[in-house]
Amino acid sequence: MEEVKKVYLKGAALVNEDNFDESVLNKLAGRTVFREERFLLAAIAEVLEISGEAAGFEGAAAGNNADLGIVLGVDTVVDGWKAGFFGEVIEDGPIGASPLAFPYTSPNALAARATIAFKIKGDDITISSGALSFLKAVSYGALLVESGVLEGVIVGGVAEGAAFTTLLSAEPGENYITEVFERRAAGDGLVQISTMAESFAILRDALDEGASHGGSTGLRVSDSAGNMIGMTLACSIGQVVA
Amino acid sequence: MDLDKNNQRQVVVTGLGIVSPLESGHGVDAFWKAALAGRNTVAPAGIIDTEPYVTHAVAEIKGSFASEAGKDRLYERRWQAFIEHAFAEAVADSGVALKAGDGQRAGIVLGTVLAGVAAGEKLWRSGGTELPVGYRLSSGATQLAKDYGIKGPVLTISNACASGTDAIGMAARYIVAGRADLMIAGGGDALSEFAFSGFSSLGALTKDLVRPFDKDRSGLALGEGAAFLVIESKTSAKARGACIYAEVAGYSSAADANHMTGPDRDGRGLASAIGKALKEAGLARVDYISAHGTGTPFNDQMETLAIKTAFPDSAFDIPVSSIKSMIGHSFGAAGAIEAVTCIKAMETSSVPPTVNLETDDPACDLDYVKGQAREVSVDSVLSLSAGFGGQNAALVFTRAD
Repeated sequence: MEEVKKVYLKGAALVNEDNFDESVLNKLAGRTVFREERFLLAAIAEVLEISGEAAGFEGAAAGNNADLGIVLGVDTVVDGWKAGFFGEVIEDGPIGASPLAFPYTSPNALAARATIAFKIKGDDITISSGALSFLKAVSYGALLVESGVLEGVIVGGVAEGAAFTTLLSAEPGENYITEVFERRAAGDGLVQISTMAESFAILRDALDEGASHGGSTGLRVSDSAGNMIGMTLACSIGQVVA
Repeated sequence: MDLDKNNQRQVVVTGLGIVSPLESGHGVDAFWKAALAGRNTVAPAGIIDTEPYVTHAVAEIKGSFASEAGKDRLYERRWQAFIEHAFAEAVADSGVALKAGDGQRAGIVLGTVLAGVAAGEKLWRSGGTELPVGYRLSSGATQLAKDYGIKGPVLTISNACASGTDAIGMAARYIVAGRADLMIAGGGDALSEFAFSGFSSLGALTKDLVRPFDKDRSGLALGEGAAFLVIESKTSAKARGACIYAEVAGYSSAADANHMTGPDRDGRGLASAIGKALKEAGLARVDYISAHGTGTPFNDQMETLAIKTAFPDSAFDIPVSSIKSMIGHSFGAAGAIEAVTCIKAMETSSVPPTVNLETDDPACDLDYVKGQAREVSVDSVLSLSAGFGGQNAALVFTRAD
């Protein structure tokens, strides 16, 4: 496999019911509708702050995020919203259809909400590829940076009860991606996952491992449908970053 | 290796497949003949019961798709039937031997918004909890990959009404980056009461015909269908002696960052996407624009402004038309169907009309190819999409060397 250009990961934030701080969203313009929407916005605010990029909502207002993109993995989180929306139609007929809820039944609604909140105006992509949706978002985000389409892209995943985000950047940082590929494969050495939330822990553990030991960590993750994704993460602690 | 002016891998189109209300699955040539004839397919719905609603017009696929199975069963797996049919046509048209080894470095990007939501409707009505496999957005691409022996990247994306356009653009980027040599990319969606009730609640549906850019336009009609393009590196296409339709010369996605359902009134996001796609293609103008052209008051005015912003010197000279005037808005399929439209326009040196455009709107003052198809030399085309959440996407195709 040909080595690709380094894509740096800046910050990582996992927000769920246990650590969600609602005050983070005090400066958010507009209302939120769903719990996971709030988790996602809080996770992006945290990552932008950690990474030293435009600081959350203030930076957004100044237009500092306009060149960023977003690639979000969304699997089943909107299914409940869809069922709720159509349940009202079944119950009450056309008058039960809520124009406020309907836009949130589209999987891209969460990424859209993030672009609006943070004034992100680059590529805006929602990937819904089952349990691998989040890792495929990381993969495509890395492609955007390594090919020079974007200098920085928020990548993340939103599952039931949790949102995970990181910032991929061309600017040097501690952790970077040296290899990423997707294919359909089966066999030994693959970690099989059945929900997207499992991939949050896999990526976070790999980043923690790199931070504590340096060197590189390989991921080989598959889903039950036979899709797999491979990635090598490296940490430059103790090394000179080129 | 064949490289473009940016010293990147050239990406070309070698296969087309389509299912739309215009030809009901009888192939790209039948689609194109009907499109140039300006045939309207918007009519009262048959597949869904619109009686409780105040609007009733949809663009529905009929013919063999409506008779091969019982109506209830067909309703639930209509989406799968469309994508399977269009995918098979595109693969056959390209001549690629996926199962004989070409699938090793091939992948799929499928754009869809609703996927198997019709199967979900049945479940929700029954009070059940176990969603059927065909309901999930990822199910279609995964099944196609299994059926055709595709071993490369397999993605399903859902970028609202820009999904089909983004799918093709993303697939091209996978090839440019060297992650695959060949991708089958496009989109598909089917009519459902779920979508009808949602768009009805937003007041976005017309009681009339679809009249893009008309002063009296009153909204969109929901449609359905699927389309796929086989795209591959030029080196790969030449090596296997494939017929090359066009080059994928530029693509961009851009967000309005403005509103959950309405577009930026000035079209800034779409203009940004057009500008970046043109820059990638190394072009200052194009010979034809396939508009998003939904027939809603805000979209058509926004799109007109975006085109004027992106083409300050030539906007009034470029033919612009909306095939949605004939086939309504097919969500994830729309951008892919319009990509096929663009490529056929180049191949046949003809552009389809915007039908039902009768009363000029001072706010929509470009050349919309009113009423009748036009013969015109087309060496470069631009396909535009926009969607809920401020999604914008632009694709540029050029005539291959």
